[in-house]
Amino acid sequence: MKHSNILIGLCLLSGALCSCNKFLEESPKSITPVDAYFQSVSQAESAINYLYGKGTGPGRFYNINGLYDGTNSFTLDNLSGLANNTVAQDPSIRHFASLTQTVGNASNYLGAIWSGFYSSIASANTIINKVTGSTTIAEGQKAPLLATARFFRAIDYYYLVRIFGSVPLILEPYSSLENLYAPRASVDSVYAAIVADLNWAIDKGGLADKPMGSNGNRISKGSAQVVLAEVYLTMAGYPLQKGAESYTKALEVAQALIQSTGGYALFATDDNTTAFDKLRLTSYDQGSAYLYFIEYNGNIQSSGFPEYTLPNSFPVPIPNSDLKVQYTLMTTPWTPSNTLLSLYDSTNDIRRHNRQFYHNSFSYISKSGSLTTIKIPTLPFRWYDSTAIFETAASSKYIDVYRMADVYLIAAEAANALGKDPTAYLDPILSRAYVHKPSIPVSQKDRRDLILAERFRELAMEGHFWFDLIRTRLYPDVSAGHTVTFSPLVGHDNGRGQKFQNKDLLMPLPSTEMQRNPALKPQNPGY
Amino acid sequence: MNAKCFIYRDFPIKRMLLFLLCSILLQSAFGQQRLISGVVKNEEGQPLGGVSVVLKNTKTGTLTDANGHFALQVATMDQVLEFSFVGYTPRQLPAMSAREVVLTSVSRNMDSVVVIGYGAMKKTDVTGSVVSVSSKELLSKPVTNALEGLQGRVPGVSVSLNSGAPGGLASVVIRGMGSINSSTDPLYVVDGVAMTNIQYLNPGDIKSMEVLKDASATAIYGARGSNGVILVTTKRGATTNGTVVSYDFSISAGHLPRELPVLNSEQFLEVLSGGMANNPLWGAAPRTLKRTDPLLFDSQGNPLYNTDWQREVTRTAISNNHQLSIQHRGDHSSTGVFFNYTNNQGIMLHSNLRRYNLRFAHDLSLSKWVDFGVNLLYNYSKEDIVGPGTGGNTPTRTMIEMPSIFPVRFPDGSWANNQSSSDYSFLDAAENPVKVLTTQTNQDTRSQVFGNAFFNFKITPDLQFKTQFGIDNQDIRYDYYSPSDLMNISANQKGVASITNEQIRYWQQENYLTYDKQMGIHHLNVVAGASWQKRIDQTLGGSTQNFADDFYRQYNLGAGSQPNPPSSNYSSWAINSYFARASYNLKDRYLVTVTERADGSSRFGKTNKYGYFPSIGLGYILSNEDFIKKADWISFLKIRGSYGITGNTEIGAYQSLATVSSGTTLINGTREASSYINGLANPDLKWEKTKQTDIGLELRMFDNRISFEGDYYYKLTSDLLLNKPIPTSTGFDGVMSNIGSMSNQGVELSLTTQNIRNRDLAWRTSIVASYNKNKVVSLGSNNEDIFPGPFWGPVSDGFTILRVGEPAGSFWGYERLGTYSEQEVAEGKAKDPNYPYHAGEEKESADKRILGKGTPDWTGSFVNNISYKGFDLMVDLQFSQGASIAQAFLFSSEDRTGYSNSLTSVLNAWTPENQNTPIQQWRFAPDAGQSAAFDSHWVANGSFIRGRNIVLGYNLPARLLASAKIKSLRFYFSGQNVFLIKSSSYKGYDPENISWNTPGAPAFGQNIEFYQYPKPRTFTFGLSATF
Repeated sequence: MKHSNILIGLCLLSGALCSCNKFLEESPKSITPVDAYFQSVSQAESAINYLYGKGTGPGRFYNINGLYDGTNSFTLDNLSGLANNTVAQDPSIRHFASLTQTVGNASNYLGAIWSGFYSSIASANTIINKVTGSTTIAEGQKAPLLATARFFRAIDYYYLVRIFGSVPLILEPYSSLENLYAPRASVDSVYAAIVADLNWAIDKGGLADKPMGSNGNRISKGSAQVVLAEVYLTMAGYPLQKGAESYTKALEVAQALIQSTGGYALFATDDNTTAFDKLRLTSYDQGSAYLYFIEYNGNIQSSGFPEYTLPNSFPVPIPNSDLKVQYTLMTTPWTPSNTLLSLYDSTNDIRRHNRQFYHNSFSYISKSGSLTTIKIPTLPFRWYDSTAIFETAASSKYIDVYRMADVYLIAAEAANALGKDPTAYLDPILSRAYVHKPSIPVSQKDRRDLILAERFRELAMEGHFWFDLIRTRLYPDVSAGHTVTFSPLVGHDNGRGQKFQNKDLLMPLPSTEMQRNPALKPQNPGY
Repeated sequence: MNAKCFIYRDFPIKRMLLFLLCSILLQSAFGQQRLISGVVKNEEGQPLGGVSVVLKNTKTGTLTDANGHFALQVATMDQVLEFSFVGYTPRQLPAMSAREVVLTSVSRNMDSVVVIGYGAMKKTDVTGSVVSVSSKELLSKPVTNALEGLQGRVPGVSVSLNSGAPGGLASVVIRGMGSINSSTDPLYVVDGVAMTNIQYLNPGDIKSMEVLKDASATAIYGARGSNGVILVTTKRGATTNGTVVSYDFSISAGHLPRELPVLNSEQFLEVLSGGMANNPLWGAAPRTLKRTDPLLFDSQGNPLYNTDWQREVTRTAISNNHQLSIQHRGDHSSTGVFFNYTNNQGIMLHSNLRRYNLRFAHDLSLSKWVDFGVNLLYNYSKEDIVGPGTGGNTPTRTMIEMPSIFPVRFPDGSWANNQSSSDYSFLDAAENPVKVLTTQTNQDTRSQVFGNAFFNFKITPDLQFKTQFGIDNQDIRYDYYSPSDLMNISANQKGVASITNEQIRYWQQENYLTYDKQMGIHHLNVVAGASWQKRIDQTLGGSTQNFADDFYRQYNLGAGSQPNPPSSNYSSWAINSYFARASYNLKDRYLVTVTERADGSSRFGKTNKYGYFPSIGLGYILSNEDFIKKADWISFLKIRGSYGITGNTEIGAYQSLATVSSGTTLINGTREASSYINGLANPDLKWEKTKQTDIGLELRMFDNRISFEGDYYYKLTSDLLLNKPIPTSTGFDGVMSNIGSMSNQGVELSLTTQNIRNRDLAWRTSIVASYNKNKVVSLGSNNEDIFPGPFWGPVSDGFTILRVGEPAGSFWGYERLGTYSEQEVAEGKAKDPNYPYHAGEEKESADKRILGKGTPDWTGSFVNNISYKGFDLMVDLQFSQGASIAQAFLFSSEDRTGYSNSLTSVLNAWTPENQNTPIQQWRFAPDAGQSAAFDSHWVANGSFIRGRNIVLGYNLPARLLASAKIKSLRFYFSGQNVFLIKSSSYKGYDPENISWNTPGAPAFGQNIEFYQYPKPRTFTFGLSATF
């Protein structure tokens, strides 16, 4: 009895001892170790799918950060002075609006933009490296995977280089703690990498040649082309000023897309539906005009943008009506500035007509049968979704980033800069936008002013304002009769009493990133 | 461990019993002497049975009966009687003054045995800093949580009760924050088994809690010892043969001690229209306030309602507690059965904690040399939660911010919310807090099976082998249902339901040898053993929305037409350890303890699985030296010192590996699988290492009337587990690394004086005070600032900063310099056309600064115990000095006019006539926006003094009870949180608080508040009886 007790005890002791070799090994079950990753096409596809998500890259840039703060693209529109966000809660946004941004007050906001794009780049780098070297993925299946990763890597760098200037150019994935401290690469070399990636995607990527919506909401050859065309246009302007060489390429790529047989086309106005209604209606979200968009779905991941189409003063249960706003919060982080609204001829420009791009009243038939109108301040109508507002509070409206109108305007601007006649590219834009099509001026400068003004009018609410301003370093001025001329951006008033300075052309590098990576010094000028 | 206790305790008792029995028999043969009688009581006035009373220098003596009475023949009245009882300090008194004798408990006087890791030791022999808290002290106020009872009892142990909710958060930090990214919680060991979620343990089950603070004490727990160790010993069977039944009951009523001053209806409307009138200053269109909606206004435009939302949301909370214990001891076994039911109502509607505990402890002597013991407890609790807020429209927020112009219900019975009138749709849509609390389900149900079984083999009289197996199995279910009519919460989703199940399976197996031998003047105690532990944590969750009606709530997830993807998760870790400790005592004067533990943890990198944690402790009992013995005013004097290394392994599993995160992405109308690499591997990852030096002094004077214990410590934690910031251009934010170091140094003092120690009257005072200074010594590879959070909309770069040279978690923001005056703005505009500021807007420093810290310098308590005959009174005051509070709620209660109701402080806002004020000009935020950044105006002085606990008790005289076969009966009445003295700069309910306790930033959320669950003031009536 006594001895057997000791034996039991000793067995327990030795039994436990035996198991100790494997005892401390970690074997995760609900997350995959990296060694087991990229063993199959489906794993590579899931890595690609992440790039389309809202957590990284352009998806994150266009994603609503908070009801009152809106998206990063709103903040750049606000910085431009062409749109206002007075309800922002993040103090950094208020500083951008008054051009008082500093390393101290803006770093955190900018750091999120910086890391948002670099996390997308890191995923793309891993995909490109692992898929290229994979022996388990068939060669034939590799090209579209690589093309998609290169497209996202290019667009990520394109945002970074425009916002921050020279940034680290990282094209290989990190797998260890070696070489973490990448220095800033020249703006030139960043653009070279962007161009190389996009050209690869267009030429060797095996991408479908059709609008994104017809391609299962995956990027197509047209997506890469529109970005490449705009990249060339940007390279022609500031800061690289490559001029004619780049305008020529921009025109070539834009032309290729316009002439493509892939089914890309501007929306046209039909009997009851204008082209601009179609830009608003969710039923056209997968239409021919869209080249790159961020997808939403009311049942899975709904868009909050319709909340920005009515003011907070809008009555929730609408008096004398069964209509009731289903969203509990309506607010206005993107309101068109007076400068922007004055760019439009409110009678001749269809886009400025009520309930096209903007609206300033809401009409309904009351219970007593009379037509009743509620006046509201002028707000975007592009994101208005009556089903979401009055029924579901969940919108499926896609957020478009690039569409065919960009391509026509890029071609027009490039052609004009090269001394060619832009009419063929400008005319389709003008003829659908105006009741009475304005004449295209003769002088190259006047034509440029019209083309640039059309970009502001046509592409409002799509995040282009700031990039157009710093690319051209010109700011629109409106004279009577809605003729738009341009004067230098630096020294121009932002519409709120502050003047743009040289420092505003680039944002400061986030201070946390500077601390983490001493190789980034020096800071951008003026900060 | 328990077996060891018996050895120490049984020896003297048995010997003495025998002794006394003989002497009583002898005594009865003689006579002719005077009979004296008296009663022996403890400090609380309760009678003590079984106390030995012996005539000095004779073998004559007796034992007191159950009522504490004794009677003894003495020759003369100046003969000296010696009173002794286990656990109490012996006393000598002349017979004439022995009518009523008070014995003081030795836990006060450090002669007791304390539980240390893997054993027990005489307190006097311990070289480390160990503080024992008895059950009586823990339960001196009605507590539902053992940690609550620990508050203020132990110097160096900061227990922050951060919520007034039943089952609310308690955060325990021993000797300062010693970690940044891993846990700062101490290790809890209950009867030798590590326990998480100790707040669900029944405090009535606890016999004692020992807090191990310095390295000499904690190194035996190696890689888990850095944050200190709290050992809990639970009650077991009776200590003497027979059966003891005891029953405790208490009932209490809690209420909101004070309301925050908020605007009433008229004031609210005045501020609102004042803000609207200022619209043009901000370039916004003018607006006028409508006061015409008959729902809210009478025909003259006067508001119909003036609702006091704080009163509507709170209630007088009635709680009760029953504790029944049955303890038995036979010749070879002892058994204890303990049952507890507690129903703890919260002062906010619907918040509640109900808990049932059942525990069974059995000790059995299988043979002369084998003991067996088992301890098994089952806890079941159901908690209706009202959490603190971190930005959403939770009831803790809306009870302050809901404008008083809205009623709880309209006359037709329908609920109101702040969107009830179209004229007020600009308000930040907030649902009625009474409705939310009444109709939502937010419930935790926990069941826990915890326990251990052991065999103890007495191989030789000096050598024992103990093998022990312990388990901690927890099943936690979180139920949530939010009905389809809760605006801005679940109305858009037409009802949201979710259930998450978490299953925790933990086991540990430990084996160790204990050798204990006294050889003349040498005493040696050696412990050596090995331990294996493993924990597996799995979750399973489902959630759905869009319900046709609210009937099913969360009970039928299939009824929701829009399910979310199900979720599950698995994580596990394992630890394998070897440990040894040797304690040597020479001549009861010179003490040495040497400890070493080797710990292997699965959570660390391949190259660093094992760590080694040594410590040494030295002690010198000066009072046993002859030259001190002469000074008879010194009862006891010991100095001790220790140095050692401990570790901290508490990081999430798999941190050393690079892994792939997966989820889904919306593509073409469906969810497609998506994945990404979420970090870089660090095969070198290892435990945090704390080097700790401790010097302590223990002194008792004047027949133990004054006892003092003081410690100085210096802790340097290096190899901090830090998500080492790396350039985010790598695609990653950081890599879990061992980099950086942090120091804590401090002083701990505890002083107890027995001011009066009379026959009828006793008065004891104790002061416990601790000072801690924390400093970040190094960070990362370039000493980069780190912003550990918490992060929150208007403070998106975080409230806190880790900066070398500063205390960890210092508050970080702008300095509020006031508000811009008209003159300043005019001058500014004249100089710089870009000048962006408005008069009446907050004026802040250009750069962010350190604005304070959430942890105090000095904390402590001041306790007075007075007993007079059967009455006893305790007054327990708590104090805290040197902490600041980040009042994040000022973001919306001062700067957000137009979205919500405000504090009355906005009545002192900037106007052209009142330009010297920190409060910004009224501004209608929905049109004109708001200026709000985390700045020094939000930071308040967090020092306070609290009347934590006042208890008045009465013990019925034993002779009254004897006929009813009741051994003792005590009634008491107590008040907790009776008063609070705080700084006027602090505008919230209670300066001891936290809103952020989310994973990721738990340690740095202390004293950052976005509205809290208010702490009640509670009055309790209770009784305790033993039979």
